[in-house]
Amino acid sequence: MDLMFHKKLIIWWLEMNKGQIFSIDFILAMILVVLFIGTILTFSETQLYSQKENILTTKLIKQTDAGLVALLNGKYSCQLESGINLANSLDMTTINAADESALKKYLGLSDKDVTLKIDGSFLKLNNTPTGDKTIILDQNILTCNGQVLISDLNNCLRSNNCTLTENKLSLEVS
Amino acid sequence: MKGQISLDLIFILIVVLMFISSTVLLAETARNNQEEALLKNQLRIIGINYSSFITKAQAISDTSFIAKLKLDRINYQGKRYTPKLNFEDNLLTITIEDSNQSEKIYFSKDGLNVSQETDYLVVRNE
Repeated sequence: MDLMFHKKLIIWWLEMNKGQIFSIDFILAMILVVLFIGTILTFSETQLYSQKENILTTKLIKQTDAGLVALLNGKYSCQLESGINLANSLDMTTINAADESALKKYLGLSDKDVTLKIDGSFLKLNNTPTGDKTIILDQNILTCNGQVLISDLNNCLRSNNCTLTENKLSLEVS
Repeated sequence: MKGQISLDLIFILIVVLMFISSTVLLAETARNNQEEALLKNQLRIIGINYSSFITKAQAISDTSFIAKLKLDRINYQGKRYTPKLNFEDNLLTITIEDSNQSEKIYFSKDGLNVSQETDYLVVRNE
């Protein structure tokens, strides 16, 4: 009885499979191909995203670095009698009097949130970071109050009564 | 009934054709996306370099100088292009011919004269 039932079932199965469109093998192969293409596309998308993120981070670092160079060597740096800027210095009188938006523009960071700290305390541009990335660049600098004389530099070099002070400047950009 | 094309064969042919055409379309879209992403990345990278170059030039703004930087060539769709630079106040916009893509980046040029002279970016303080 059971044997007859099985025989009938096999005959029915064979009849049912006549004229089929897709075999199980074909469907499995298609699933594998789709999965393979999906994996390749996901990998490619991830690579693109990672590359984009790296470039955006590099952009922010370079802009911050350029801003720091401009700040410490341009018109906000200490001026010698001859009108030459003292490299890697900051004139506290000039920076304290500076207009914040003009300062951001001068740093080339008009579209960014910028915070300037000296020895850990806020100095200027206390903008709360709103971006998802924040770059902090620290640098040891010389600070002065007003014009620097050559005699001041000589005194500093000889460790006599130096009017310039060494501080740590932090520029935070996001 | 002999010699007729079966419905199965027609279905399979349609499915195979659909699969091939969708794969080709997918590959073409991926290639175009890669080209656009490559162009965007190139514009972004050279934009950063040029804006940093101009901003850092302020470090020598206490002297007279002319600084020239040869512009990078940009690869796009198998061709090489010289970028077009547009300086508007403190905003640098970089574009190329044959594409609507552009990159905008802020820089600082306090008192400096910045321009594009054919293949060079020129910063002057005279």
